[in-house]
Amino acid sequence: MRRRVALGLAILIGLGGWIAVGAIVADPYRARAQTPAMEISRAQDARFVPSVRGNRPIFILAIGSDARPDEQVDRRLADSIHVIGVNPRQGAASIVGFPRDSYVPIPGFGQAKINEALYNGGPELVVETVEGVTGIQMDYWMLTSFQGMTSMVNGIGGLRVDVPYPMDDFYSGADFEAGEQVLDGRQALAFARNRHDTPDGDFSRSENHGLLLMAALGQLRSEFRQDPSVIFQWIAAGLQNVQTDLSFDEVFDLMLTAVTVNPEQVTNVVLPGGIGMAGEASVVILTAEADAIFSDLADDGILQGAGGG
Amino acid sequence: MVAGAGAGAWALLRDDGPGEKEALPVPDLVWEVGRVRATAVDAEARQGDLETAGDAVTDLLDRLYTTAFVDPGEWDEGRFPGLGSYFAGPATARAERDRDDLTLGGDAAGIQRVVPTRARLRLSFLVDPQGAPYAAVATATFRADGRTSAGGALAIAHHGRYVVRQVEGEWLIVGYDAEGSVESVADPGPGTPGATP
Repeated sequence: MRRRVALGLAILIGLGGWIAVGAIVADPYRARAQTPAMEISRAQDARFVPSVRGNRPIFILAIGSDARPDEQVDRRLADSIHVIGVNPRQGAASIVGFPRDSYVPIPGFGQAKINEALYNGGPELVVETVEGVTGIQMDYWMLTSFQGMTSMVNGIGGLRVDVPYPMDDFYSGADFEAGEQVLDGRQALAFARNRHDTPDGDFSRSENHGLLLMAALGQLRSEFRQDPSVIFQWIAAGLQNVQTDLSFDEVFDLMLTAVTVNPEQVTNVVLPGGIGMAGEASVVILTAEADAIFSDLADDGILQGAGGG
Repeated sequence: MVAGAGAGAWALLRDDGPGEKEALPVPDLVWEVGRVRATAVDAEARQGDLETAGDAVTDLLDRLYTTAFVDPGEWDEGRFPGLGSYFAGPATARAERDRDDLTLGGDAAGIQRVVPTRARLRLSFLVDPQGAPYAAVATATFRADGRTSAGGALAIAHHGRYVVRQVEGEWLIVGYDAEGSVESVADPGPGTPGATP
């Protein structure tokens, strides 16, 4: 034996904790140690092996419905649409947000705002639409609602978010100072819904959705390092509040893989677009740079070019 | 805790001379299992199912630590050929690479005997939507006294956290996080704190 190791799944920060554990293990013996048979070294960063096999990236479509508690979640407008690319081999990921007003071809419904795809055909049609626009095959989809997100965040005991700028928005209820803070479910929802008191309207809102995902990833990784069994609480909170085509086995494997992703290796971007008109409706016309992002993302799930941050 | 550990066992160690590794009986390894926790996605787990799963996971860890630390017959000069059988998926190959961290490692070649003095296990289960135990995190704390082939005394400590799940009906490790140490110590002799459980 020589050092501390870790595999499997899971998420970071416990260096201090690990050192403490190492000290507890070592100290009772140190006083009477003569010649150490082996020098004890302490881990700098415990790593868990991704549970998902293969070298290929995984693409997940995360959809947020604007359904209220008494409405059908999968037949409302999609306020939030993100492609999440995960590269298990490199422990890296990308989050690509679609402006909800992106004017794109929806199979069977012609050119329309992308958020209408959920209303017209459920998550399967959103997947089909995104696949058509990006040229990337989605492996899985996940769908939640206002209530689902609120309950999910409460279910994990709140989410530590680095709020990028002060917010004071009557419509969403977002009222935050800038900086890191723990948001409960209601606050996280307000943060996610705010598009009035942001620098760039719905583009900023989509970017903030990505920030929430990154915050969740970082927190899961951190908590997992402290106590791996917290992943069970996250899985339960997720499955109780999310619709998905993932099987239970796949959810488990994916969560174990998620904890191997380094939050510093996650890129969060929103597709660039210009404001245009479709009839009387204001829409977003995705630019050629969006195509470059799709190409960049497709091969390994990682954004390395201009689109990556 | 380990049955058989204690002053008597330590005295047995002291009496063993070099080169007698094969002739010594393998000490028992008995786990002190703390409260078992369960997190349910939907349906609560049946108590009987949890107990059965708890026994199975405890047995898995028992076999792992027996192979890795307690039974010299499993060490094969530090190669531990049976180690991979306790793991599944990508963790299997990683465990082979991390052999030195999961076991006595290369030190095993020079160790004659290991007598556990403490073996504690905490279990936390995930219960699937049908109410069946699906996965667990097992946290193991292991301490032992050892004796080198040259007669030196060793203090052995290991701490591991293992994510386990059922793979084709068998509970196996799919992720882990482990650290340990083997240190030479002054021979405590019988009746000293280091020789009692």
